Amino acid sequence: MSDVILRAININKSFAGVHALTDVNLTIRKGEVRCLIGENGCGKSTLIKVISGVYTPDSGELEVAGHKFGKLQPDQAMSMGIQVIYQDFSIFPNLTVADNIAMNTFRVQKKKLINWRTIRRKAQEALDHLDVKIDLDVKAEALSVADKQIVAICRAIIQDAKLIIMDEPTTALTKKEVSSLLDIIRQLKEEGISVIFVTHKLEEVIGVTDTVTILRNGVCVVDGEETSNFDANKLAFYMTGHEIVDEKFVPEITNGKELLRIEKLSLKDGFNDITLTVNSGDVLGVTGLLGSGRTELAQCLFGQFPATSGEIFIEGKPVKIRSVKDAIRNGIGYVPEDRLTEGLFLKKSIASNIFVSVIEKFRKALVFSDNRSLKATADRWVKELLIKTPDSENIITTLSGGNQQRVVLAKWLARNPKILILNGPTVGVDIGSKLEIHKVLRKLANQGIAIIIISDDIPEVLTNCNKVVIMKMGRIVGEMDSKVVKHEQLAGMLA
Amino acid sequence: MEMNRTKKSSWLYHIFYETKLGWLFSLMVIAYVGMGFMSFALKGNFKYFSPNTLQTMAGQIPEVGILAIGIILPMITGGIDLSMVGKANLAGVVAAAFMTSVITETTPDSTQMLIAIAAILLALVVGALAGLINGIIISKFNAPPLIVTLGSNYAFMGIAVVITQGKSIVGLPAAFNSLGQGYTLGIIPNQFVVLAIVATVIWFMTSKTPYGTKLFMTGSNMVAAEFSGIDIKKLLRTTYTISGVLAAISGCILFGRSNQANADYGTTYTLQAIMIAVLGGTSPEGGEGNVLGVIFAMFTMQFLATGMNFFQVTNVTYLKDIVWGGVLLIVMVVNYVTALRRTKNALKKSF
Repeated sequence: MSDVILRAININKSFAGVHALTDVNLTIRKGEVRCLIGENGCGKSTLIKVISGVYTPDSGELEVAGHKFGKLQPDQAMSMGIQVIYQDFSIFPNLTVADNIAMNTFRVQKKKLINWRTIRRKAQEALDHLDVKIDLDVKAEALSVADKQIVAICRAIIQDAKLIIMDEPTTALTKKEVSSLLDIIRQLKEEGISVIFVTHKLEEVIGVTDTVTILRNGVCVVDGEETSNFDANKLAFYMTGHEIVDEKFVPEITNGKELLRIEKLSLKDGFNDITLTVNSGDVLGVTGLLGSGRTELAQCLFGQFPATSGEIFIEGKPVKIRSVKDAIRNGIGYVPEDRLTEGLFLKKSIASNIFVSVIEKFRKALVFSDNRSLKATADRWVKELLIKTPDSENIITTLSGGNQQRVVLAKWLARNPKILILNGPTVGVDIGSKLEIHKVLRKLANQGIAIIIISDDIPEVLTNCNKVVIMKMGRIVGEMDSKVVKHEQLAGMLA
Repeated sequence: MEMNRTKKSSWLYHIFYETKLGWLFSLMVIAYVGMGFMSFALKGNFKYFSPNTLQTMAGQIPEVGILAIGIILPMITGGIDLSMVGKANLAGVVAAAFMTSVITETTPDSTQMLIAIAAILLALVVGALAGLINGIIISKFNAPPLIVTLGSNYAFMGIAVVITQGKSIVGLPAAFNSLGQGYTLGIIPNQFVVLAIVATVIWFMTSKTPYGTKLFMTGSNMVAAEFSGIDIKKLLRTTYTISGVLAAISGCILFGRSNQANADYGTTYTLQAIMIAVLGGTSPEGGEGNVLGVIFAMFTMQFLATGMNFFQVTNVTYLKDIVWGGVLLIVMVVNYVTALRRTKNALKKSF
């Protein structure tokens, strides 16, 4: 068959004795849009890196355009037309758009001299080709995530890409940007360029892709079947290996007392006139696009940026929150958006990542820490939240994303917060762990904690919150009962 | 795995395996024995192993040793303190100026003793204040510690120069000098006793108190620490203040030993202290470091330096620098390799 662009045959790869890929086969035809899907740690990234020549497989063969390779060098892969667009590492932020698009062709063609005019012309051609407008002279760091991706796609195109691999391209995009990205993918497909689209968001996949490959624990469980045979539940079933049931959250505490009330709260350049109430036992969802002020609201309530005007009441009493310390003293816990840089101590043990919030609480003879009690507290929460580890003294990076997120949660629960604010609690977390985290949050709400979930994941908000607030341009544009509102309706209000 | 479990209860196992100090300890022993035998091979005697030599070394270690212990605290927070020597000299000079202005030839010994003690306390206060200034600038304005302490080092030294008017302050009372010249129980240099006390106190502070835990967590991720309710500004102020106090102690020993106070004494000590700290397992990126490692490191360096003195090679200092630098580089490479292996093992175990 001549229209096969890429064939991977029985690929095996293991790291430190762990099988990342076991006998994986993959065949991509010309113009095919393949969705590669699977939970975190299932081997998606490893497979991509084998295809693009970054990793050498332990065994197996790659066949690109009819040529067989035992192993492929990254340079070879590129000259054979395989281009990978990684999540963050594809762009040189200090170079202009034109340079970013056209530079690499010179390197690949091994030219010693660079003609700046040719660079600009080629870059402009590529942009025109995709029918997008981006200023060629702007530095890439100033672009939005979506534009950066387009620049990366342009670069791939002018290098005569035959297969473009996109590694989770939609994670940082708004809904609108996602749909224009999908348009571009359709165009690529018409031109006969194959695309491998890596994701773990189910709903996006179904519209654009022809076929789907699902990996689970390094094994290919679905190999190139038609996407139209799948729906979200079926995909989830293959990804996790068990049935996923979305059950709507119904609070057990129906007339809980008021824990947090904010009135006409404003933050300069953040949000305006926000008024809302959260009662004990409530799960409030705050949703909105990037830049709608949802994150700023969370940061303000947690004392990172003191509000410029308005009032905050906790248990009916007016409080001033001017610093993180104030917020914590008032019983507010915050699970930040970026787990790795804001939530975790990556060099430290699981235990210390949990007990860090209660260091002061356990003392011996006034000056000494009671290390045994601290460890016991951490171990209790490891058990309570089912964090999967043989020993809480292990370093935190030995945990998966979902388990790490549970550690961040445990850190706050150890302090018995009254109000817990979670900013994107399941970003980058696989479905199985996502459900576990949701289960924990529901349980906490039923124990009387007021929970605020800030998320742009509409299904997440709808199934786990009993009240939903929609933010747009720093204002609340809608407040509704999640029992009544429908997915499409909410999505419509966001855009 | 099995062995792991049974050994875990032993404190020796804890110190030498978990805190990664085992091989640093071995390095220290190798340096001592190796240098001894090399000097025997070259000179034909075992003088290197004599108690006298040990006593001399114990007298030389503390000046830089205390500075090194003082510098690991800011380093654990992810910062650094280049003003250690500046603070030491300023504190020492203030103490010396105080003593020489109060004491006359007719002052009786007992009063001189009291004045010396007051002077040392004064030095500690000056050191603490100097450190606090660093801490306030660093925490309040979020300024890079490297730049702040580089600047303040010159400022502190400048103030010391103004006080001494560029001259050495001589004629320090015997009571003060005994800090750097006397012996406890007739054999242990007093300054070594001070080092032992300082090391013990700081070891307790870093490994057994809430302050210590917060110090390491902050160094590991400052944003996450703040988000976990740690008062970072207070922690930084405390840390730089403590390092100022230790610098002052070192300054007093320095001037007590040399019987004079100078505004620009021991300018090379800062880098030596950093080297010892890093060799002892303090991570320049923050979040890691421990007193015991620093102790092993300072002994190792001293053994090497004294050993080379015994060879009586010409240009000994140059040779010493090469060996010190070489040891540091080798240790860095070994640290990197072992850290890599540890991570891999930990990953393997968790699956």
